[in-house]
Amino acid sequence: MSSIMGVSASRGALLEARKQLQFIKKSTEILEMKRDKVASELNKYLGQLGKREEAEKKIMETYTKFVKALVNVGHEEFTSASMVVSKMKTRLHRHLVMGIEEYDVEIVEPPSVESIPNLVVKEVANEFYKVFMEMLEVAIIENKIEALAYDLMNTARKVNALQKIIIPSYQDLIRYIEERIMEEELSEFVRTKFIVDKKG
Amino acid sequence: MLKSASYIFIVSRAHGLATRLLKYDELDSLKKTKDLQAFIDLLTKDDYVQSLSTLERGKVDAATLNKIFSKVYVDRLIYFTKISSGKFRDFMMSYIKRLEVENLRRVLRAKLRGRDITLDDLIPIPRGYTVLNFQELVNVASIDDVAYHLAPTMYRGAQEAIPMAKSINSTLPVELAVEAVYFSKLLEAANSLPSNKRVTDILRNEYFSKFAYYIFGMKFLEAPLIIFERYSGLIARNLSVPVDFINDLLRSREDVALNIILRSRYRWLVKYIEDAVERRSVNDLYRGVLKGFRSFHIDLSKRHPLDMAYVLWYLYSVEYEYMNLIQIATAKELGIDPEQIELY
Repeated sequence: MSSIMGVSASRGALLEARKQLQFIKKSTEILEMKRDKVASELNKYLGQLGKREEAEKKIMETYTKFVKALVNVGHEEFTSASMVVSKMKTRLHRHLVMGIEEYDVEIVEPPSVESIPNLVVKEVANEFYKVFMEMLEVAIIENKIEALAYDLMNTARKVNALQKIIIPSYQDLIRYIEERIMEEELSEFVRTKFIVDKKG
Repeated sequence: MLKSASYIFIVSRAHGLATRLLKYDELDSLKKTKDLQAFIDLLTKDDYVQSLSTLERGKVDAATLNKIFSKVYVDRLIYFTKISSGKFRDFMMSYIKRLEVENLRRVLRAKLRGRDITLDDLIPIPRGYTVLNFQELVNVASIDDVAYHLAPTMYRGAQEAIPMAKSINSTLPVELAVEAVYFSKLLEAANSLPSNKRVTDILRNEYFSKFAYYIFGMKFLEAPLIIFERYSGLIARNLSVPVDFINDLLRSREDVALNIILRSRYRWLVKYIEDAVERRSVNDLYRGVLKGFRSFHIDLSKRHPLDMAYVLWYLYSVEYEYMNLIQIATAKELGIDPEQIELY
């Protein structure tokens, strides 16, 4: 009995190969759906990439204000006024969505910039905190984009490999097994007929 | 009325000591230096040169300079207190308490969050010039223990503000209360001086400029102004205005508040802060208030060079020189363009 891809050309092997092809096709469909979903998610976030430029601009503006405030009130007053600010507490949440790792940052306890008694320092601290939150949002989005893009690349590669290589090779295998079985059945039929004729 | 010898002495000393202050042109030259080292090299006034000469070249930062300027500022005030006598000494002893108030502010801020603070973080005030035991205060565990130390002092009235400070997590109510107590005691001491009306008027204007900074600043930052209402009686007494004037300022919109000030004796301040009010910038407000009060007392000292107005001008000039030097040193360290440094 001849074989291809290590599979012998039998009826059992044909049934197994058909089952596997069906499973692969279904998986390909699922992966295609995932690819489309990831692509649409990526498109949704790509529009928000412009926020970085805006946030960086705001950071520079706030930095200029900070420098002015520091020059005005001096190091000692700035340090003393900053002492009342509590430390910021955050929690990092990791989610797995369609196998993609996503991270979200939860602000458990914001820094108490409202407590700052020096109003010049408080004004700058308020602005810095707002800009920091915007930058954090940008970082989360960028992280999502990176994870989605990486996953899109992998999924597209898998879909292509399945569509262009795996499925055609299984189809070839099935066709080959079918032909081999047909040939073997035909030769069996001819052999049987020959024996019957000889006896007759 | 003939002026007493001590009065003439103190005014003449103020004139003499004023020659040791940096002139505007000198400050302007310092402002134009290319870096921090060049700034130090140019600062050759006697009061500073001794401390600055001990610094290692190229290894100086603005924070270190800040401490040196702060020491010169304190030394000048203490020297002036030492040479004064009688009622002037009592007044100076009250005036110099602003250093103690500043230190108390720093301790309160650190203790609110249980942070560590050492005597190095405070203005070095010699014993005998402060009623507070800062050696003990820096070691207390919490803001409640600070209240315990305030009890036997003139700041006991500020103790009531501590629960509020804790509830809103800010030392601002206590700081405002301490400042109100300080000014009320200073005004009491000023009342016993010759030409006391002018002195109390200047002090009231100083207090009002600070008060205006707080109320407008807090309005800009949308912070609750209720903390003032508790002390509105004391503030009104200090400013010699009806309590309603204070309450109206606290409760009205910024533009309306400006109009209220325009109708009062403190109208001179409006032109210095109206731009800041329009832009709602606390930083500009701070500068406006300081610049406004600077012009106010310079103007008074020019009109009355032979009375206590000049002495107060000298005391304020010491403080403004300190603030200007800190400003220039910090700006030099950060590499800010000289044109962007605005002297007071």
